Amino acid sequence: MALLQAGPVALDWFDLTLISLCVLVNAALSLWFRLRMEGELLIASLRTLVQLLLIGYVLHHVFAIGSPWLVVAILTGMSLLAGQATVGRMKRRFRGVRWIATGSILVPCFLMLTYAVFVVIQPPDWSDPAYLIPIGGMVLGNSLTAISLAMDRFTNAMLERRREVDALLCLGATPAEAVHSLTKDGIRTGMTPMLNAMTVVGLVSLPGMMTGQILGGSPPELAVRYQILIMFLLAGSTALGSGIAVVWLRSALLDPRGRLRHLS
Amino acid sequence: MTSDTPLLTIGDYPGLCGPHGDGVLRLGPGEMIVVRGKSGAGKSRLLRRMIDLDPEPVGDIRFRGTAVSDIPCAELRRRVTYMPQDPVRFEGTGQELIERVRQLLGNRDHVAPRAALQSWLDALDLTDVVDRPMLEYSGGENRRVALVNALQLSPEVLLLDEPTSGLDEQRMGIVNRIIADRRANGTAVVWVTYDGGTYDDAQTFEVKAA
Repeated sequence: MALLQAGPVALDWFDLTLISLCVLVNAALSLWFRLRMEGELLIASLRTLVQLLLIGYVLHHVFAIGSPWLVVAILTGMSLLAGQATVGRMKRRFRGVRWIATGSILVPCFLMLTYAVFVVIQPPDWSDPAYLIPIGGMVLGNSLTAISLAMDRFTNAMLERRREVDALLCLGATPAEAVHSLTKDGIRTGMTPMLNAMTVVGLVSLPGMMTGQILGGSPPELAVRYQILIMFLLAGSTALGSGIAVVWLRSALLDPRGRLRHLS
Repeated sequence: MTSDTPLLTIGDYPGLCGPHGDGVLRLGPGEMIVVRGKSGAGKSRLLRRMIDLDPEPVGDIRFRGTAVSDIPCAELRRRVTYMPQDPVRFEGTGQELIERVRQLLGNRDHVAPRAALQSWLDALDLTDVVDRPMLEYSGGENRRVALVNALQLSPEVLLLDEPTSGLDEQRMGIVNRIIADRRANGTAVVWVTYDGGTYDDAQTFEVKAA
């Protein structure tokens, strides 16, 4: 049995061209069933290619320069983009939603990342981009999904179940009580994907980071420990993010008298 | 509390016209006011403004001398309770909703005793109905359950939006008796209706589209 000794096999442009044929399956389905997803698919594929090549290039230089400020700047930039993407995924938007999305991503990510790096991992140099950037990226990516799901769910529920909320207000509920079941629903929706992932990890799915470490030549036992750390970190940050997002959204969408605002 | 302290006062409300030709309304304990107007004239909206639930507050509406917008909203809506014309049917049974309302933070210490609750359920023929899912209720059943829900908050002012529409003669009589009994206990009533029925001991106000 061959062991990975000197890192993984190099992938050249030809290999990437070959693997891009896989996406042709999506294109074929889209054409056959007239899903009209060809355009989006093409753009998404190109974005994958360009964005990853770009970050590879950036990281190459970040590793070379090794400045803590640069690492923090990159993480902040990634957070702002994540906030933007969260808003982009929401079907109903209103003024101020960008603050809620960005804040709900930024705060838990900052807290959780600080805890993971300073308390748990304690690398020789905290600003070592090899820790902060990949872990930060994973936290941001998962928070983005969780928070956009939670916010979308809660916003839609506020519109669809408006009469129910109104009826409870009329019966003496405080605004928070009147939307309590909607709040629970929103937070639960945000926490569900991570819970599902934690249920099948290792059995059905081998996550990217672990695969990467193993490919990179790390012993599987260590790769697994890092993965456990990541899973719990993601569980915490997505939950905290969903909670902040929904509670913040609640106070933005309901005025102190319990009347719905911003949405019509 | 003296008997001449009005529970609810309205001054300066566009489109509201009272027996003295102006829009000034004073509602004391045990008194009743009937509000009429064409559909779409803003009768329900007037009621919603009385509990500060309308997004555009209009007019000087006061409960016991304090502007409704200055009273904590849950407290206001418990003491001045609005029963809408078409109450929402919640998931679950009527009993579950009744219990949920009793458990709300601001209501816990103020709701009517269980014996009173039971007597209203009995009088309105609801003892079996409340164990069924609300989504299966007829219009009349839903309305009667909504009335019990409003009554159990022991409100000082009861705002009723077409409370007897869709009820048969006999049930209408029962509702009228319950309301009369509440009034005898000091509850003031605002009764919104489009019909021409007479309520001899109530002042009549008219709402015209502003």
